[in-house]
Amino acid sequence: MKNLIQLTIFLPFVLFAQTPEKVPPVSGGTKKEADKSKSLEEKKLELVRFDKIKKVLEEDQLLEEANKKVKKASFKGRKRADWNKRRYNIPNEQDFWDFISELWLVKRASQLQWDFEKPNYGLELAFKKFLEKMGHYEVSFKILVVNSPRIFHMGLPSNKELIFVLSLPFLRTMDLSKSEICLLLFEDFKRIKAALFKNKIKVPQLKKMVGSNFYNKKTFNKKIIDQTLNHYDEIVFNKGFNFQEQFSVTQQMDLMLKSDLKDWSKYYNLLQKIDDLVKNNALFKDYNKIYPSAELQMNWLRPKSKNI
Amino acid sequence: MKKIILLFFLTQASAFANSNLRLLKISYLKNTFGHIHQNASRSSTSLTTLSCGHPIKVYEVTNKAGQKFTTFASGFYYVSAGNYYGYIQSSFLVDKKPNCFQKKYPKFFDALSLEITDFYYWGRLYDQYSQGKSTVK
Repeated sequence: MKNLIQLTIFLPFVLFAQTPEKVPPVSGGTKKEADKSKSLEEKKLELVRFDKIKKVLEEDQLLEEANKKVKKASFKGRKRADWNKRRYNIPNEQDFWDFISELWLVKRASQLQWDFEKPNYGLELAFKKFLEKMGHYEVSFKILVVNSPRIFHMGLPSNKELIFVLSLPFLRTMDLSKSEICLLLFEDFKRIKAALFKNKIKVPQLKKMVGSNFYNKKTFNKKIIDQTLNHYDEIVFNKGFNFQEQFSVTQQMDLMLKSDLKDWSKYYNLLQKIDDLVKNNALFKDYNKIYPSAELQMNWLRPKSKNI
Repeated sequence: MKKIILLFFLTQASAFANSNLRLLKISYLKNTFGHIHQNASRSSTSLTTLSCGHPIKVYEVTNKAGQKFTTFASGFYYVSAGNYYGYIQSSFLVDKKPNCFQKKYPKFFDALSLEITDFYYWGRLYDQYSQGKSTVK
């Protein structure tokens, strides 16, 4: 009876008590939003402050139950705060490059002219078989055919599904067969695997940003993304790859294709075709700037003759 | 009276439409963005752009001859999302809610401030891709 009287006296004070400090605060949104996302236990805990009625609870042997409730509410609060923090995650290495490569394609849609009606060339089937022949299994890939001579062929940085871009004017002018296109794609495949493109993107703070979190920062620095997209432009349209990188790719191709001389000679003939095109067609004269150079690649491939 | 006649015709029309379609399943869009097309072709007009994880109703269609279809030319489903009825590539859909990029990194995605044109092109991008995967024989 005594306890009941005490409880009725304390209850009004308890009901209008302030928010306890133990519940972790929620940031990253307005107070209204934070209140909305609170769990029932947390809301109850805001109304009832068990520490103020500790004596009554002790006498009623309810202290253990009250502690349980406080623990449960604080656990839920921490979980919610953690979830809220995770929402500010920046994609990790695995997710970032696939996303940013697609973002670049989307942002440069008008320059690259990829949104046009085209038949199904069956390239995906041919390249799938080629990869399997070369012993590369479980490789997911996407091929985008563009209607622009500004880009020739390129493997964009990607992890989960490899992204390849092919220029239709380039393929048509060269009159390439499916197996020759596969060889070009395989060259790009080797470049992606060696992260040649990715390593060329030297945007300050990009490495630090990938896989981090911007919960405590006020805003996300979008400039880093814009700079990365500009670096993509620079590599795809102007700089391309250097001699050293080309040499290593050509050597790898040589090593892979030598097991089937038919493929090896096809690759050699392809380089010859490219060399002829670059030398005779002004529209594709920049090819050597991006991939230096077909002529040199042929030299590297040619067996060295020994003087006796 | 006019209203009653109008209502009668409307109900008849919708009943006719429903008799040709049978709900097969509810699937979810797995790509970042995607389009529902007017016809079963990837270059067909887009009716609406959907975001990853959007629920889509997949139908079985019965034609006048009584033949039933679930997939159409080159792997398209007849689907609906909201008020839009059209076609989408079956390979774009999954039966379980996917782990979408937008959901995984919501604040990063919002911070990019993408425009409607970007959403549209992103959906088109998936229509234009030729996708494949090498497998163990």
